[in-house]
Amino acid sequence: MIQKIKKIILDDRIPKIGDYNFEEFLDPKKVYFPITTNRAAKGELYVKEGEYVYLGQVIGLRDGGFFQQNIHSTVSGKFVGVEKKFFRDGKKVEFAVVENDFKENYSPTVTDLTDEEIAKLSVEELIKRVEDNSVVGLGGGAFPTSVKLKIDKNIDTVILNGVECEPYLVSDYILMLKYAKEIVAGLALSLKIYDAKNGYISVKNKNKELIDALIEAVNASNIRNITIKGVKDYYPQGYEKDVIYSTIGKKIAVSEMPANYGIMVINSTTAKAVYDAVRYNLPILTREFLVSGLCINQPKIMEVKIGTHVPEIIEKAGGYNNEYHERVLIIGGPMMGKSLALDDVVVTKAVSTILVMPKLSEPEKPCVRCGTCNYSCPSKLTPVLISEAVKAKNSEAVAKLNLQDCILCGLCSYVCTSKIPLTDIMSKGKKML
Amino acid sequence: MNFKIQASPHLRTPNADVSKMMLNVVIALVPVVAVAIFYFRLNYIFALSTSVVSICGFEYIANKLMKKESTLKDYSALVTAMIFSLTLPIGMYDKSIYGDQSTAYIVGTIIIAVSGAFAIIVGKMIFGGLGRNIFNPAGLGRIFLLISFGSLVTFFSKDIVYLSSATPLQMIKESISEGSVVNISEQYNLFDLFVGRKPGAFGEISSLAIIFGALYLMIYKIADWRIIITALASFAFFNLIYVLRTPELSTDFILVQLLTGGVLFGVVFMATDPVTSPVTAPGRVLYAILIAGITFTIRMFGAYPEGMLFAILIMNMFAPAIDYYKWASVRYTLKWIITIIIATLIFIAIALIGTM
Repeated sequence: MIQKIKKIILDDRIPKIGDYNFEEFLDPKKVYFPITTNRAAKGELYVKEGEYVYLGQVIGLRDGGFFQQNIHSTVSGKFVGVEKKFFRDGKKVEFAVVENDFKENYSPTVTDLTDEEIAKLSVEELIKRVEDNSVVGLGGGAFPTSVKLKIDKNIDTVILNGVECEPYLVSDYILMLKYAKEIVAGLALSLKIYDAKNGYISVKNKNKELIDALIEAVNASNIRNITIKGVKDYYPQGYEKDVIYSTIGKKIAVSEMPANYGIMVINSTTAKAVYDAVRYNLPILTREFLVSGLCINQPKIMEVKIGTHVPEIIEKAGGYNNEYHERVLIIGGPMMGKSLALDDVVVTKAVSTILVMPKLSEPEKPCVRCGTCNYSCPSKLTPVLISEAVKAKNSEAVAKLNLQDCILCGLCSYVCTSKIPLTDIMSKGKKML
Repeated sequence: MNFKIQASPHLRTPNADVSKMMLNVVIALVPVVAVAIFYFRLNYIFALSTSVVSICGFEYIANKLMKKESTLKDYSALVTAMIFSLTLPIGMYDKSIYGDQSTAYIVGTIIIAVSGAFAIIVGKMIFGGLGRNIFNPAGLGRIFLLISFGSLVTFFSKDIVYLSSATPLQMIKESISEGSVVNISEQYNLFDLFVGRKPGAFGEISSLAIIFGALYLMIYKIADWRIIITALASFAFFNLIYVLRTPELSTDFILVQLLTGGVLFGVVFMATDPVTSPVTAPGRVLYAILIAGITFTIRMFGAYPEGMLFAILIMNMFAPAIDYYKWASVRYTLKWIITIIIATLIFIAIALIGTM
């Protein structure tokens, strides 16, 4: 197939957006919070073993300079100690364990501000609430939102990215549908913080009911500078630069920062977290969590507490089936998600999906130089030439072919006629730069 | 619970597969093969089966010797064999050279088998098999045949009654070199050239069948339409320049040029071979223009009816240069546009020199 491919062909056996019910699983026995992460190498706890903690209470600090963050408990109960579990990047780190007493006792720091009170808060106070409540980018990057809000650039346009272009993912969609009002309010807060003129919410135009819900939420509020934008459904439409282009028609080179053009893109789920942080002084407590894939008995989307142990969620989804001999467990979407060896993982803020799929089995064949990877690359790179350069260990060629612009979206591997794992070669090549 | 580790992405398109791609080329070749069998019956069936046995057989043996798994399943050897057989001259088993028909068959079979072996061994397996070769294996085998056994074959077949003893290409050549313009369309009417009553190679005789194949390849995205369209359009364009400067010639000349000498077949089935062509869109456009231009130049100044094949092999050699990392780009950058314009201007100049 020598052509530009942007569509991911979906497997009919995996449920689509309309097939799911809204479900909840908010009473895990124990919850786990990472004390260190890939970005914050040090961490300390403020609580002693056996101490009672409230829901929303700060129990510690992850120390990573720029990435410094408070650790919050998402249940009330007893802090029982520290355990090693897998973080979403596949590394084993220490987690603080809190035993749930199922009483949902909120911390006294929790507030419930009215719209008028929120309107009176200054920009500094708004940012402080976002920072104190460790709001991070929920699209998967987990970049601290407060850092983004404090940026020293003139921002006039804020775009909420609600595209969720990875196949099978539905978490953002469900959350936006449930909390359309909060998302619009969160965007309005970001506009206030940036002193920006235009706000956009971009969602796939095929999700009509979501567009309607968001328009209704905008109309119900007194905010007039927010536009709901339906964008085409292709992969990777959710990539920042693609969202900007389809929302406001501005082309920005891969290597450039949108902020330099006065544009800021924020994940739509993050907007709700910003709103909650400001109104309730609460961190992100729950996520719409998807457990799906061909190896899961009853694929489900559930609202779960941050800190829930994944095996408990999988049990709620009917567990694994035994139809496939070799399986992979993927954290995130099937295109960019990471495969893990064990399911001993914890739901952290930027984790919203677990897919369990049969392992790919088609053998790799020699490259026939069809060029489909070149035609499909959203960053306009030449994966076939880059892979040759990587194999030849020619770092000069790798740099000249602009591998630094690669976003590891996975399309080159997906479209490859010869089933060559090109994206894997790209990420190896990135280490040569 | 243990899981396998796998690099992302965790999906692969179900539509792309090397064997499927090659099988589609086989399907696209079916009309051409059918026409060849219709006109030449046993002669072509012999040529085809000899090619298939020799090329597939030697690929199998080469893999055995290299202790590798057989690659016959990817159908690429079958494609090479079919294309090679279709480039063979229709006078492959001409008894007028040897006196009796059985000798002609024996000699013809040996020639095909040896050239086929050369095509697959030197053209492909020596480089490491599929995807590694520099030259189009079928084209290389055909040129080997021309150089080694050229005098033993003719471009005429006793199965077809011809009005002229010269091929259209020879007439084009005459009209170019002697200044006496032969009205080719009087001797070969365009319809005959189109459906197949003309001298040449087994596969090139019916332009209609080749166009079917071309449409199939382009619709199912097996071949890059950029190469097919650019090569044919620029070849027609260079001829148009020539015709415009030569008042004696009618525009029929352009069609005669397009429909003879394997231009269509070469462009559709050989220039589009992805392994031996560049990998970027601008690179492919440049490659196609150069193939068209070189073919045009060889016809203008040279004598080989295999001009198309030479052009393809010459450009195969330059494909890695077009893909060189210092200038390869998927965008039509200013550099590429200038290069493409310069290439076009060079061949326009050659067309103008030809008219002087």
